[in-house]
Amino acid sequence: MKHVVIGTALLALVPILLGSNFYINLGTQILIAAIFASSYNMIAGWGGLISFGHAAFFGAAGYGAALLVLKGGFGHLAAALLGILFATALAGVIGALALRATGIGFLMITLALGQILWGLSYRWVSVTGGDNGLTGLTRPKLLGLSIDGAGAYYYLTLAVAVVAFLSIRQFAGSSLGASLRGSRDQPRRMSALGFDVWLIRWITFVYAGFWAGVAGLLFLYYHRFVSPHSLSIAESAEVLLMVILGGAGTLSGPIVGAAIIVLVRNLVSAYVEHWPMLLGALFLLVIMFVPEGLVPGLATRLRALRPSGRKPTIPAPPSA
Amino acid sequence: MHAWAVQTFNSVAFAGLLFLLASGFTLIFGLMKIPNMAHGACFMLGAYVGYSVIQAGLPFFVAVAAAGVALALLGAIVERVVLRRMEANEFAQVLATVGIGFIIADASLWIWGGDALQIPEPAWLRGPVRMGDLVVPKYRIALIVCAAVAALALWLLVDKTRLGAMIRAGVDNPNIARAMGIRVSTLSTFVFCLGSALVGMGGVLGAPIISIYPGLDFDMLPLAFIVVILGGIGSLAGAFVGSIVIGFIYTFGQAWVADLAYVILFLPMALVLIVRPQGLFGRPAA
Amino acid sequence: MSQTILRLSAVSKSFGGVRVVSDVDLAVAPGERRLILGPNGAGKTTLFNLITGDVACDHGSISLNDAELTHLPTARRVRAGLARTYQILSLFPHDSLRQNVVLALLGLSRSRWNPFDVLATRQDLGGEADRILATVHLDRIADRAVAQCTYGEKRRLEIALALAQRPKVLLLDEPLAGLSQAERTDTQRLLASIPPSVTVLLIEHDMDIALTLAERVTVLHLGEVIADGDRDAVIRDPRVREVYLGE
Repeated sequence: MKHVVIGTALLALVPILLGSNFYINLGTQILIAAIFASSYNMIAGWGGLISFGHAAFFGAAGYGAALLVLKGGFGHLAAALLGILFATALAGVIGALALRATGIGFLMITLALGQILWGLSYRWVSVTGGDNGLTGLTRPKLLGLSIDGAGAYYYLTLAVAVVAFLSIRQFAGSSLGASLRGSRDQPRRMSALGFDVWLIRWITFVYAGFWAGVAGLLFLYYHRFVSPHSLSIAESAEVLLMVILGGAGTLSGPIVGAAIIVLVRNLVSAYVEHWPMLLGALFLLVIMFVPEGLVPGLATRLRALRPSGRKPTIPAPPSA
Repeated sequence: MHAWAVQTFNSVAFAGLLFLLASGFTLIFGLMKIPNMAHGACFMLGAYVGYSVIQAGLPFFVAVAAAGVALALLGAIVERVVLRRMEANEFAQVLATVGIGFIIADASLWIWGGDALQIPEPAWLRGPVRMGDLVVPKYRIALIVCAAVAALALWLLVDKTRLGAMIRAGVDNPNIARAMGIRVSTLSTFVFCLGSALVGMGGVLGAPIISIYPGLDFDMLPLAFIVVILGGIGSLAGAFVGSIVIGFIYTFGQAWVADLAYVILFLPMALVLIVRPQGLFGRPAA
Repeated sequence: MSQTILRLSAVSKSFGGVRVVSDVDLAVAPGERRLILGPNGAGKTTLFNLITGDVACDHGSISLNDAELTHLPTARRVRAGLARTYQILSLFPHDSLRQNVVLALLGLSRSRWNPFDVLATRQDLGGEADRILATVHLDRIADRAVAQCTYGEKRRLEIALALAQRPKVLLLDEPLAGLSQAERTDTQRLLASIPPSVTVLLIEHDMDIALTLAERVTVLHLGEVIADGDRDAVIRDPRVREVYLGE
């Protein structure tokens, strides 16, 4: 817990230390990506189910809220909650369909269903604005305070990110989290121990959809705009990249992966025009040589004395 | 009636293109058990290579051949250097193809820039041809013919040759195939090269119709998926039938229900996956 | 007349065109020790898979205490009182022995759904796990990761996981396979000490030990039951001798 407190304190200093809006916004983007990636880690890392359609929930929350505010006349708070609810409900439906399969089948169903959603946002121009997306969103006042400024929005995002991280960490350490990881490692054995593997996975899928929706909502208000890109395969592939790069199934891996990708896109891009190639190559090298991800990989190599390796399926209860 | 006939013709032409895209995808998927997520990028790269060859003044069909060779070479390198390394881990291979797709896409952007490029049809295939009441572009007929030739050649390969028998054995049951002495790893390299060559050539052949642009990779990949899921993973007959079905749905869909064009494309795929995961022609998973 | 705790009626299963289990009837009494014998390929493990629901049967019915199990998924059958060990070890290799048993205990507990607890601090589960590990003499290495244990220790852990489920009916699939002589004797003692309230079905090739544990024997050959009855009677059955001496 003390790591979290220290980390949060350091992050809270970022706007003060860095000053420039560009860097503060970068921080906001990293935090949003970190929430999105952590949500994906729940199903891909701890669940062992690689989905290619996680952006569906990220974008659905954004579109849902935006449509309610811009076309439905809803208040921002109501729209935000309903948008997240929409994303979560969508995760329930897509999860129920996709979990009829595992492995590659699951991957393809999530890809197909995600594409359907993307296709709707892209083609149903009268409702979604098509390729142009939905614009004209303003940031409301939160508890009387304006969140228009970069710094204010950063702190809002930071607060949400901390809550998200603690919640997801709690989930991971709980009995349900252990059941999920057990189901990833030995699904047949888990059934034989009395666990309902399908239901464990579905509940996780829905919860992951919820946090993806939260990230999507923050993204919406950050940009004040939503477009089909939020629902695209490219977006789903990117969050996959973040988690695999950083380390699937670890707590800090997705955060590190998110940071790397956002920083490369925004900072390295000024010096290296072909940063996607760089990212692709980095990703490939990680898959080939450090498949557990950068965070565990570096940890293993740095702590060569202490035997390390894959994190255990469940945390160790103390002996009585 | 005329509109119907034109759309039907266009559907068949598009189906031909889809077959070139999907046949390689289904063979790779069937033998190596992985969806090649770089397949769309390979289609795009083939088109770009063809463009450069034509810019250099060479004839159209030389460009087609060049794209085939270039992509086959790339496929060989990818399979041996990257994929072979993670032979037992299919997920790692899928992820690796994702990374490769990214690299190819950005390298293409680097080399050929961000503007959409056009490849004109060869002069001798330009213009319309009259078929009874119907006026159709000569080039599309040529595309259909090329796809048909490819289909025939593949069918002969897979059904009538020893190599094809080995491929079919590897698709059905790689463990038994290995036990029978079939070198599945070498076959994988061959099939990966063949699939890449096909899709590369398809990229050039399709370019006069759909032009070449960044993002083409992510536009084509889902189509390959749809055709192969519908038709059955590893089944050439399925890819053939699937291409025709999707060719029609896509063309008529664009014309009739533009808003829902993507939905009607992906809905069948999703339904098939959910209800009958092995596709229309595939075998049920063991 | 004894009741029947586990009953199979006309259970059949085919894979492809091959009849792997053919019209099998089985009636096991509570507390019984039943040995399932048969040459390789006789369908013994498939029979276990059918009982636990890892594989669905084509025909026939399976019931536990007269409650129909045939169409229930594995997890429901397990919660009705079945437990099994697997021929091929299916443990959680990166976790400690204690963690493995905790997971087994969690499977039948309501709290497996709890997203709000912290499993690492569940002393009740940890303590119970240690107690179970003690019954299989693994308590001293409770903190060791499974991957670092010997094969014999892993086999005993398999049994510990099944015992942790406090089953009514325990299916043991070749618990002695691959063990050294000393380990076999230990495991034999362990199996003999299973409480009489637990019904045990055993697949085993080690005749010497298996026959000391068994009261009744069912012999399978090519998926069919060719002998079923008291141990001594079955051993003397000419068909059984033919099937075994022919090996």
